[in-house]
Amino acid sequence: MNTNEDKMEYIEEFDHNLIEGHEYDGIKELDNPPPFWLLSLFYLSVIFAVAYGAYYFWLGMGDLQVAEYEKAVAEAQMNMKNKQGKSGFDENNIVLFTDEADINAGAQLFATKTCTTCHGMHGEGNAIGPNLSDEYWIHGNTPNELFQVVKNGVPSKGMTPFKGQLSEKQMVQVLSYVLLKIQKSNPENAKAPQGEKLGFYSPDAETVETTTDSTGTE
Amino acid sequence: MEQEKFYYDNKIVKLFALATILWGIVGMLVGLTIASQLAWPIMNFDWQYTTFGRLRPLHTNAIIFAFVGNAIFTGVYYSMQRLLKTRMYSDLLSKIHFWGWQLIIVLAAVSFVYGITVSKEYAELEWPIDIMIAIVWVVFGINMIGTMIKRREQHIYVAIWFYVASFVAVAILHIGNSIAIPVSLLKSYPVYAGVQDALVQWWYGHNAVAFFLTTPFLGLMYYFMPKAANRPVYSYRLSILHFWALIFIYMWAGPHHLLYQALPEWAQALGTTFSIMLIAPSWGGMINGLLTLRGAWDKVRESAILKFMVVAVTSYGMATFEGPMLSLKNINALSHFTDWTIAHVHIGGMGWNGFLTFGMLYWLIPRIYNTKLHSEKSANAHFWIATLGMLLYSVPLYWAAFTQTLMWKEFTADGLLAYPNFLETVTQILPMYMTRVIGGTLYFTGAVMMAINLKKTMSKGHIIENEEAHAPALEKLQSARMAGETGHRWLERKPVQFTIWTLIAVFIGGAVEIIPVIAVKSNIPTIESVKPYSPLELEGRDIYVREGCYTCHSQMVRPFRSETERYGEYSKEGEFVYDHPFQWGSKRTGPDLARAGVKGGKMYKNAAWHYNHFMNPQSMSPGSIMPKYKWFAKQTLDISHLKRKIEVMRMLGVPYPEGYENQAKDDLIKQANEISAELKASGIDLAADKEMIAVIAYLHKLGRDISESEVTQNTNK
Repeated sequence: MNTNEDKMEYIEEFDHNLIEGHEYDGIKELDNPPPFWLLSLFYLSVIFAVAYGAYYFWLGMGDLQVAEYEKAVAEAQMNMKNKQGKSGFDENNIVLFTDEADINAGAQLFATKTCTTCHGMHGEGNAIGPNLSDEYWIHGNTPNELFQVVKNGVPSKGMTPFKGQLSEKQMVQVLSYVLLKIQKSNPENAKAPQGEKLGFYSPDAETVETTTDSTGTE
Repeated sequence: MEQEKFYYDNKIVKLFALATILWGIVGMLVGLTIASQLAWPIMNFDWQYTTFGRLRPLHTNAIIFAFVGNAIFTGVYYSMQRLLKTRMYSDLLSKIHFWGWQLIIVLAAVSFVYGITVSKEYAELEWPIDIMIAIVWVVFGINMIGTMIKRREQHIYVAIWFYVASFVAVAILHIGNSIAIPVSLLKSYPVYAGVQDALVQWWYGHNAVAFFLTTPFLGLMYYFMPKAANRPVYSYRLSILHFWALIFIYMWAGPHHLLYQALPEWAQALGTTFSIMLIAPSWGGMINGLLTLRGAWDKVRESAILKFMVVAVTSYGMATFEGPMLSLKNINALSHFTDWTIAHVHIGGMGWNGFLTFGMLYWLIPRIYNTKLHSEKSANAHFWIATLGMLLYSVPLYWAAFTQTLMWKEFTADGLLAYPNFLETVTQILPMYMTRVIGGTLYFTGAVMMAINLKKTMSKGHIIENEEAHAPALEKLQSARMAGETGHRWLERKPVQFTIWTLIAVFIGGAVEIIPVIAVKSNIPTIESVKPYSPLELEGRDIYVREGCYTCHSQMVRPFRSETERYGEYSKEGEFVYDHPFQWGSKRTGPDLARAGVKGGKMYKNAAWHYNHFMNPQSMSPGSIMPKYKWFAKQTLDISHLKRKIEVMRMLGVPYPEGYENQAKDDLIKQANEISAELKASGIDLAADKEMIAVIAYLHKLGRDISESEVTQNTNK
């Protein structure tokens, strides 16, 4: 005899509702109807399904995912255009920041926006990216040229384009930090020079304009 | 009526119960390990056999198939004999089922650790084990149907309807999803490519949840809950309605795993709408369970078993409401690829499956050992500690998910991503990952307490291996419907017809979705510039699969501005036509990699970066939680199956020219030398025959083919 056998004990109100002949290993079943609210929920969900199909497909009222995406992009572009009018950055005439606040902001960006992973903690360069402190340049050393490098990247060399990651102002802040602080800083573990000797960036003297492209690399 | 004497087989129940406890503890321990790895990457142990990518499938499979699987079999073998008033059809089949299943579990654990995987979630096992699973599953089915045929009970109870449906559906799903062409004993390529593979996989993946984690457990609920509460089932009519609605509708909902992805939108819409229509049928089960307790709520206060069952059923109700909500496009836009999904499945897994299993074991073990539970107090403590554990597990993950998805999508006033560096959004949620480990530890502790409690119960009692029972023989009724007999009542005494009807019900949904996607060409618009993988890229891809990179990195850019700004052009159906298997992933612990090969794209990194990053991710991305993959630089690429790989791919429709298999090795070496030279130029000495070279080649292939058309598009603007 199993010590765990309990007798089924029923509360009165259930008894009249039991279905005759429905007993399985002592489990009985009641003849309650499915709750009305649950059935209603089901019918509502079916109506929702049909309406969903109609909205997106048969009536074509809702945007499918590509249309939705294109609208979002167009809207963002409109907003950007409205803003750009006011930003005042002329890509052909980049003027570096010389004030402490902006240069510090640039240093902050340099440290946090992944610049350091390829150019080293202090711009000394590493296995991936070139030294930024020396006189040798692969893609020119003028603010205008370097702005393009930061903005659009150098795909063939692995330089990431930062146009979606930094605002134009931020790009100039980073550039200011690199050209005014990292240049000539003579950091430890500096990587061997790459590119052409164009000289240090100097805000006073016009740097040598170069017409060569980026073929001067090893 | 003359009573026949027969014996229930309790020994097989005992074996399955012991396996449930053992694998439950193992599975949870692995879960705890991988949860810790996300919080503290050092827990990857810098060892290739214990990385997150390899252990995550071990955790999911151990919990689903080893823990929950054995729990199902425990309950099915116990309840079925009693509900049908007979011993199981064949003791031999029962034994083959038990030992076969345990062997599969052990082989699975070993193969995941060794990176032998097809990378399709919850179906990662390679073809020889897949065949074993199919055989053991059919053995289980024959045993089940045989038992129904030799029954002494005229009608089949609702619990068994659910068992039958589970058997039938899992058989179809497993076979349908696992069809592959072997390359070697340990490697195969699925026959489906890209979009088709994704659709078939999530038809499987979703319904593994449905027919492995849900319907068998509803069956268990219908037996063990009324038993434990001593109350009749609330509504027979409700059980009919929700049973058929559930098994029919479930099979359609798979595409909700692929919303806003490169899947034809009619299929996505079916996924959404059928998920919504699942709410009421799912709740039917919950309601029938909870209302069965009417008049027994005073018992719930005292009994740990009933408490476990009530929370199980309530968790089921919550998860089956949350699931459909996550299937709505606007919610899925936020939730997909985040920890929301992880939290959601753990409400189901820990709450519904775990708690019902615990309740069942506490109820059943004393019965087959003819004794009382060793400590009711410990069982109650288990209940509270597990409930707290579940809360501490899930709440931080929901929080992590909301935080991260909002960071992913936030733009600055200038229209730039507020957090363009993916890593920022990861380090932000690390505290939540740590809290989650505490929750998991509590839940695990509860399971250990149960193991001790049950062990003591077993030593106190004595197993009744063969339990004597009596019942009259089955009365032969006319085959046709009798006067006054409802159609369903008739079907309940026709197990074979019943099985056939469930087969039809579960077959329709998958067929309607999958067949058109495979057969109708227009569903996958081709892109001319997309070319097959080069031999080196193909080998690199196989390593990507081996390491389980897909467990953390998606390859699916969804059409949202926040994603295209971060990763590049959104993914198109035609890009994946040569992907056997697809690698879209389901969770982004790291960034999406679909555009990792687009030169000049936001995700492109050069070979030197990848080398340094694999050797030590933290050196390139301080704070990264990715494990080191130093063995890529040590291990020589195994190209011994290259020829066969090319042949199999061609067989599957990848247009490698006739005879290319003979040229493949030369091409591979040539490309490997180029990458080796590129690394050399950056001062990195790495022989061309290392695995690292192949992985870099593969990463540089991702998205490369469509980037050219993208460039022309951009210049036209």
